[in-house]
Amino acid sequence: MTALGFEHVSHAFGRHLVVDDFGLSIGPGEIVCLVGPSGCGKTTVLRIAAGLEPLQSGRVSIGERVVADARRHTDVPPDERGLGLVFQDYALFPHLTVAGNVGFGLKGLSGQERRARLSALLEQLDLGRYADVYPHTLSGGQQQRVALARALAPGPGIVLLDEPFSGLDTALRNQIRDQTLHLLKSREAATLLVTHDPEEAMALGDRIALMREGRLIQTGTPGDLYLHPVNAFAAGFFGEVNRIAGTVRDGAVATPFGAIAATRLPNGSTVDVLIRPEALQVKAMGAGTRPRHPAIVVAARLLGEVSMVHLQVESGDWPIRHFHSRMTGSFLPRENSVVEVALDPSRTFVFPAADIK
Amino acid sequence: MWTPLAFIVAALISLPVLVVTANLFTPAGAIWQHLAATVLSSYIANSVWIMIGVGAGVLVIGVSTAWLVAMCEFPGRRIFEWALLLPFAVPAYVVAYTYTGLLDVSGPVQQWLREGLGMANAASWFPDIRSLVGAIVLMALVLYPYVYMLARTAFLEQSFAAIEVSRTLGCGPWRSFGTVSLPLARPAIAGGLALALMEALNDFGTVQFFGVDTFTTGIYRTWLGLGERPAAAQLAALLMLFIFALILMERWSRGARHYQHTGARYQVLPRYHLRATKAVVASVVCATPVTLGFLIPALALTVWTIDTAAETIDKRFFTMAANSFLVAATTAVLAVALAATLAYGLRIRRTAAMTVATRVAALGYAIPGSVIAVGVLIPFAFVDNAVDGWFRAHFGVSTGLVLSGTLVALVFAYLVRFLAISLNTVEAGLGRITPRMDDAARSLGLSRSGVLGRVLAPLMRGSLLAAGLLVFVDVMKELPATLLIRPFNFDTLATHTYEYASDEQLVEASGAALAIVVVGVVPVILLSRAIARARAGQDGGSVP
Repeated sequence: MTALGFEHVSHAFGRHLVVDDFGLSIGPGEIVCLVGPSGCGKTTVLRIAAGLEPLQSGRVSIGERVVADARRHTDVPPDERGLGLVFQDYALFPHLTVAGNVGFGLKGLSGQERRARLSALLEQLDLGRYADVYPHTLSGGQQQRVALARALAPGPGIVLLDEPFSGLDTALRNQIRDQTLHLLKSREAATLLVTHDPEEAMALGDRIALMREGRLIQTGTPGDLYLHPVNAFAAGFFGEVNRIAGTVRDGAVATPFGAIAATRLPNGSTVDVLIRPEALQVKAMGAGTRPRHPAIVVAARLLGEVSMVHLQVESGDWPIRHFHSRMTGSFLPRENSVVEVALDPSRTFVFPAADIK
Repeated sequence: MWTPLAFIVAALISLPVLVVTANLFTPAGAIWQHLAATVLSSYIANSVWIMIGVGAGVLVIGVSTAWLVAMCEFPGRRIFEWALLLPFAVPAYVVAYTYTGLLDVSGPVQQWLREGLGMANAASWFPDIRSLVGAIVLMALVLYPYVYMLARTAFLEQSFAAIEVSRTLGCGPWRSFGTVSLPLARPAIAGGLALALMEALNDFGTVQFFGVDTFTTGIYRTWLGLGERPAAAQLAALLMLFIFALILMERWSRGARHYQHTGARYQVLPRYHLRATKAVVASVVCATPVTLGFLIPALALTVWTIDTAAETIDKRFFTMAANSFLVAATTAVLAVALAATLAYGLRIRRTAAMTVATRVAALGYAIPGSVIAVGVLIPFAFVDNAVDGWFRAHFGVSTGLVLSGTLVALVFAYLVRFLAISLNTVEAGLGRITPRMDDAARSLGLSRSGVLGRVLAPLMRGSLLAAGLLVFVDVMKELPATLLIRPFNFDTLATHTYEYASDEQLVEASGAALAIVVVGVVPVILLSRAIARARAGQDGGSVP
């Protein structure tokens, strides 16, 4: 079952291709985060879904119904698509009260039903007290909630959100993000949320679709994207990586911390090895033992739940010598001490060097 | 649906301009040969002299006053800032009638010279106001605010750094003005000059009254007096050449204005503090145009109106006022509706064809009322004849004039001339509303018309109101097109003023003229409020 589907959607502004053969399907009640660097075309995808951008090629369907088909020149206007839309700048109507904004899309209801629906929704979003005030008197977080309530009021089967939290400061953002997640889940609406923030995408998405320069790079659960990235870009996008160039010899690549299997890549090809900081496990040296993969501690900092250890590799001929390791808890070896480093291959990725950009 | 609708509106409004322009390329008839041989050279010479004279006048007055209030501090500066706009309220023909009443042989000034000072022969040496020079002086006195307004903004917006640098490099106020301020403000000044000259060429009442033959009087005489419509159309087309040159100048100035902002724009320049003699000179320089262009005419009109109120403020006066109000209000409402249609059409879909059509439709502001009258009456007469012919052929009845000589034709001509004013205002208002509003309303189930009616219109209520008001006032003042197109026996305040003045009943015309001036003050108040707001936004860096 598909609630919202894209097939072979492409879109150009003038000569500039911003969406290139995009395909994605979102199930009922599923939250999909469309993530990528700014200018990758993700907002255009959302606008195409809403019908705000005329479809140029491909097909968009809502449930069983094809709402836009470039080949048949059909394009259902936005007011007939029944989608809820939340904008980055909220786009609240400044001439209407909170109740006026939230009730804007409610149609075909008796006055009583309308009031009941409105007050229930406002209460649920903690906005009951503000029904009769104008949006400009509200805080950023409250405005965001009004925007969400306005989009959800008509009970849409699909909700589209365009960077809905980017206008909020960090402390507030996590709280509102959490509220939004539970609200969307309770409504069982299929959700497409556009964001440039990988952390936000991982926090909210049942699935994540990663875009870059108009193309869909990878779709999957947050775990898929973090643990099994399809290329160096995907690996780097969702978390810090140590990056070191190497060459495949006998199905493996040498690193300062031991060889990594690279059986699928031809012998002699140049590659990039991406090592997540948590893949570098640092151990204090026992007295008198000789480390297999030694490194010198340059600095060690506690970042809260994790510690960041800056390592310098002294011996060997490596293109880079500085590495970051992330250890759980408080792990702060003395500066300039020599430590033993072990490599976790499940969080280390090898890609052909050409993939680097 | 919106795009074709907007396109049709734009095409309809462009029609008169296109009709007149087309006359540039039609072969000239015999009467044209006659005109060309006899009066054409004087039309051209007078029009050119008016452009040169009025141009020089508005530049001197506009730039000097703008520089003083923008860059200097002296007693009364804050009042002059808005008071210098007041002459905007007085149409040139009203100033002309007032000063004629004041300065001619029987007027109070010469009377005082003769009786008060015993100069019996004052009439022999006193300059005749009803002359080319008189027309130039009076027009410059009421048209300089165009230059003043744009130049003042340009001086205020000039980068602090650019002037600071020139001052630290050893340039005094005068050299800074000549080497930095003036060149930077040049595009804005040129834009203001172009607008003032368009108005000067549009003038009919002054030159007609002063007996100075120009294109506008020529068109009027050829059309109504001689009944030679093709020749009048050719005159109109020729006048359009002058106008096109001014439009190009104005367009260029808009483009070039973008380059003048070189740095931090919102830092207010420390003003030169003028003391003693210099301060007095500055106050006098600013007070003179306000006094001559507004205070004296307004005062004279008020006195005369009070003197003659018993005879002139009668039932007829109120009928004319009602007529003026009727056509002005109707035009204002339609102009706002059409402007909203065009602006919304452009907002939905800004295609090249749409943009061009809208720009052509907005050309009317540049084109003299008499030219527009010709451009309206030609196609309307064509339609009338076609309808009449069709009815006679099929039903054997004559319909006569359906459109020409009706209020429909008059209001249409006003729309052609003043649509640009409402369009600019509405477009600016619409531009301040984020397109996300449209998107949000659409996603919540509103159609395009619903978005305009329920979201955009309430949000730009202020702009719509201002647009309507500006059009209303301009229609109240309009004279040449009204004279040519108005239905028989349909008098407005403007035509009444003109007719009484033509009959040398200057004092009796004062009531109607004063009413026009009073209404004309409304947009001046709007403008000065906008200026006050702009100042409030800049207060941060002002120097005590």
